[in-house]
Amino acid sequence: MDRGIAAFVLLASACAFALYGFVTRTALREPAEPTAISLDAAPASFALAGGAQTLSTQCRVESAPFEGRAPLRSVRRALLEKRPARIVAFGTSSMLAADASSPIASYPSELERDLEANGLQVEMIGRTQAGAVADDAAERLKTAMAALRPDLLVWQVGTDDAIARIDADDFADRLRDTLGWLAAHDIDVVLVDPQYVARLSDDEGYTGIVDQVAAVASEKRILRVNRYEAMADLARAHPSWSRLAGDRFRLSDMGYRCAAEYTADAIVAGIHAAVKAEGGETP
Amino acid sequence: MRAPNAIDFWRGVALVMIFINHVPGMVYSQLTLRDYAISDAAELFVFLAGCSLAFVAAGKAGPKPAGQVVGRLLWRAFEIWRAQIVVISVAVAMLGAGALYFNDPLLLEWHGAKPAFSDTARASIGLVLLTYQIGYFNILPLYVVLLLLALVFVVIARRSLAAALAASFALYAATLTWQLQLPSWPAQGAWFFNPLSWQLLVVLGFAVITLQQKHPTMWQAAVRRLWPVSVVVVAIGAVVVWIEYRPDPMAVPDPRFFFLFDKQFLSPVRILNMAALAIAFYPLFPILARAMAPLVRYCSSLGRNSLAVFCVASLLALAGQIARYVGEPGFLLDTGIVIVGLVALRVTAWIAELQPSSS
Repeated sequence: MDRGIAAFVLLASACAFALYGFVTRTALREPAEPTAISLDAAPASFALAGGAQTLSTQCRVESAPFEGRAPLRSVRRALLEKRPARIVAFGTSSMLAADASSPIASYPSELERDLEANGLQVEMIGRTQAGAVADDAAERLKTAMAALRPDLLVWQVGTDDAIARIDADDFADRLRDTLGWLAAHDIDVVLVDPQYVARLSDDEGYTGIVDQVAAVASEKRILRVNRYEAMADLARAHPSWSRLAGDRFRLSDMGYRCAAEYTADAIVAGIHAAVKAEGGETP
Repeated sequence: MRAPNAIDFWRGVALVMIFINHVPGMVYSQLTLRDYAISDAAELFVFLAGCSLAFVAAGKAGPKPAGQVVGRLLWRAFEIWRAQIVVISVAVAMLGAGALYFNDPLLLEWHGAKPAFSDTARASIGLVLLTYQIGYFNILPLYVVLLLLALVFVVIARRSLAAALAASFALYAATLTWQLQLPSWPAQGAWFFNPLSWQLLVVLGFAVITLQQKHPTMWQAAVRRLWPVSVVVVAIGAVVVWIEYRPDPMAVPDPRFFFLFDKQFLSPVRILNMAALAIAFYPLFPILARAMAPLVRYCSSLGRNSLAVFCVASLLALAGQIARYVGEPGFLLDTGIVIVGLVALRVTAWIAELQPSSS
């Protein structure tokens, strides 16, 4: 009897779930609810904010918020074409764009807001690789890029590889390959290095991956958000932030909040660099 | 308890490989299928689930009553849904415990776990609806939907196996062409394993065993004829993996998932490789059963209790990942993880078989 009732309930649930699944077609080319920001002025006519002065007081640290002067040519082209720049934030679960009313202010939502504050019109899409490492991660990223065709990839790279204890040199080789592929397909890139974790500050496996992200970004002339060093500065300034309190790690939360600000600055700087490199007006 | 058979044995092999592959970075992953074939243990596991389905649908004196088959599949889907809720809850608890004990925020973000801690209300709903999955805990949700889809195909197959295959192929082709997916929620994106395309592998496994039951002589002859070709396909697959060739997703024509090696959508080359592996290794089981009886008994015991073993394997793999993350990774630790895992999986199977109705 119990089994009969359970089977009936399950059948009803299955029908509802199947209906829910089938009517919700998530076409990769057109991601659900793109969060384009509409500005009053046409994109070609607004002026970009200058850069680092947009940092909030809490996020101002001794370390440089980002490294590199690489021009973001595809983003600039999008703005000149008077369309929102399509940006994919790719990485761990904190890169996921929860909906706007979510209690967590996810990294892509924060970044989108910060770019809007800088006068940029963007379409922000969050994607996670949820544990994928090495070749699998590279393959999944490429497939996502082919489907989404972004102007800019903001890639939080290295965390999953560091967790899985992937050899730092192997990691660097794969990163070079993938960055080469992205460049060949005119996708601009901003790298975000792994976050600072006090427990791992002397762990060579972890810091080795962080160092390789910096080395490859420098070698490939890619903009890199200096999250690790910035968070280390924050940790030194606020030792209590490294401890769990109220079910949250404040340092980690602030790491994402500040990384969004640093990334927005890096993107603005990259557009300015593109203007300088190619001549012409600021979009 | 049934005697060792080929399906249970290979399912046990797949479970061992899934356990090892779910601890990324381990040296022992070089011994698993993914390093020698385009498809991997997940395809093998799902294909064998389809094979088992044929035995669920068929009785000794003809097909079982439709109501009985549908009821059995619905109940099985419910059992797997229940297992997923338990396993993912334990996994989230393990990550929470690790974060507290080691004072490490990264553990709260592993494999997409962050919504469970930071967006708990939505994540709880998504967990029950199976739209919230975390990395390495996404096979059971696939299974639930596959069983529900299989209901339809098994019912169609009672009238015509060809019609069931045609319907399955049609859904597969439509899924790849229009990139149909089941959505993730509360996070953006889609399911890691797309059930709308993976269902074809289940139906193929079902069809293979159904044909073997109906036409054993013709079936054996077909396998014999296809064996040399399959060995060549398996060898080509191994070379492709060895030279690390992957099609460029930007370079292939649309609809691109037909031409990629994509796991989410189960691109055709992965199915072809899986079919070739099944045929190429088909004659191996009787040989192993004679030459390596203890190994066959071990793997078959895991395969006979696949749900319980899979759940424990998933959690052991997560424990292994945490051990490698907080400990000193190396050959000794990897060896310890594998040995503890293999023993624990056998103990799980043993306990499961003590129960009145083991899975």
